[in-house]
Amino acid sequence: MGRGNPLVAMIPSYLLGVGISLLMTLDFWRSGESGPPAHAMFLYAIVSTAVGYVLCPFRTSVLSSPLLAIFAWSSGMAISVIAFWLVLPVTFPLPLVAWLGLAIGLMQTTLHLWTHVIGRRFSRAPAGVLIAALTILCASSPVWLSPWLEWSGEHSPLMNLALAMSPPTYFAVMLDYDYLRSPWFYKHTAYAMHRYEYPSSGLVTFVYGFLCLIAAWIDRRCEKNMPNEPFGRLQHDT
Amino acid sequence: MKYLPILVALMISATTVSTAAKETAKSTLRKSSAEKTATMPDEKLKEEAKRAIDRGLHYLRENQAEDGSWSKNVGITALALRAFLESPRKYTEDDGAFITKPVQYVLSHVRQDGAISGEMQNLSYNTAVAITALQATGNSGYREAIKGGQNFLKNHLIDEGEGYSKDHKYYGGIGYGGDERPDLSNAYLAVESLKATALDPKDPTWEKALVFINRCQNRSESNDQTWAANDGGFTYMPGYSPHDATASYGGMTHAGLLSLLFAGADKQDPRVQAAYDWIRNHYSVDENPGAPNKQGLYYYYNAFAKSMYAYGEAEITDGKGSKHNWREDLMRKLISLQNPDGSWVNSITKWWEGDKNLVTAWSVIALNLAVH
Repeated sequence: MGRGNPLVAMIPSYLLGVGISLLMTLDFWRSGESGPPAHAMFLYAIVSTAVGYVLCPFRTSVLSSPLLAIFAWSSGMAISVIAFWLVLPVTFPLPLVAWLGLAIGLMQTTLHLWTHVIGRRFSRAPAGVLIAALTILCASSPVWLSPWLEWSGEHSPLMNLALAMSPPTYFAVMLDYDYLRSPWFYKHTAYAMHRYEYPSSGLVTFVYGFLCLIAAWIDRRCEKNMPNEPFGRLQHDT
Repeated sequence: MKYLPILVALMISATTVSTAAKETAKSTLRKSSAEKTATMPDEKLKEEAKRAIDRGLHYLRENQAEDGSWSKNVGITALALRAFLESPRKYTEDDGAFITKPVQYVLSHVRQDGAISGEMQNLSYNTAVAITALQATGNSGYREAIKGGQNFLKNHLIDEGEGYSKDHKYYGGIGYGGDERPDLSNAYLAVESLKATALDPKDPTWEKALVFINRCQNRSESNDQTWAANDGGFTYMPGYSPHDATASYGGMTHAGLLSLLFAGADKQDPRVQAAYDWIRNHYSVDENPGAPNKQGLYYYYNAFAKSMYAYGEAEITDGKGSKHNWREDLMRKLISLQNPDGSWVNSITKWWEGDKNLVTAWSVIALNLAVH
């Protein structure tokens, strides 16, 4: 039923996105706050992306193309964010929620596409571990770079580059949320004591979009070289 | 003739009384002059400090960008602008583009919500120093931008609007702007700017701010937080100091003292007295007391000058009973630390103190108050 229908393929991701949204919303209501503060939305975006990455079922997708399956899954997550937050009496305006949904969807797409492309060369499991490790390494750079910040000098471009490469930065710029000055980061890293600049939201969106295009292009090239294996190595994973 | 002895006696008495009165008057004059000499800064030192200010401002002019900004930052530009406007030469917009351009640069960053900033992560900091500088121009044409900045700061203050009740440790605080986490450093700048821009003393913002300011002071009588000690000093935010757990330190205690005074506490208020006692007991212009090495040293000098000026005592008696003229001490120290090019900079670059424009602006503002 519904083989090849992207809308049907979106259902699991949509349910997952709504589930995570619901849990977060219950938490806000319990805390008595009138709407989700920026730090909660930021956390929500990270949790959604992490859970969405781990649980993505595109190997068993009803769709015939893995790229389409990835796109359907990521779009489902993005739509769930936008749709769910819009029906709630939240303080965040529509454009902000829409941008956050786009960021979650694009981040999901980037991570899954690169896992898929690398998985063609090896297999999906080590590719997934590799991408997850790289993501965690980049995301935690404000923490592990902290001891070197003293030597990098004031207003070092390296600090800004490391910040731009960190995936949570994408969500932060979409929410206008300075996560480096949140209590945990402020207490545990030296980053916030130095001058740093967040990249513009347009630039980060462009970079992640470009990464997706490169991954899709590589995938197409691989597919042309393996005409008998439309799913690449993906189909042979165990 | 029989009245002659009486007349002579009266004349002698009158002469004696008059001489005594003159002596008393002279003595009083000498005494008040001596007192004045003890409390007013040495004129020679004052002139030297004014030259240091000129050299600092010259450095800033040399390093001003084409668009009038400094360090491509609204906050630093506003601080440098303030340094010029409050200097002994009393620069105004009539003096030329080096004043009008930074004003326009600041105004070009006014946002729809009233904030004045070019970046998301320092919204309230930049807005506070920007409206303080705009106010210092004395130009009524900037009233709308100032009002917008005031409203942004008032709305950004954490209160019921953000879902926080009065018993929450963040209540009444103001953070950098990109996050709700408040701190005393931003709260003090916001309070200073609201005072400078003449926010109505009856505005509820003052009372709310005082709730947060109290929760940053190590004084259990007025701080309901369990961690509060009793040395009277201030820490960075409720329950946290970047230096040692919840320990008080110089930069924040001067920021706290100024905040208390500007938010409505008077000089005799026990919270003010406790903060002043901490400052007396840790009096220093050689270090930021309570902070290791030279961390936050120039921030300390800036806050020191502002709080001492607002407190209004020329002399301060330290914990050992020695009297200090804070103006002279600060002038001597800053003059000794000035670089040959007129700038000031901290070799410990934390909290942006590696930025020469920022540190020079802070130092000039401090000297402006010391020579005032």
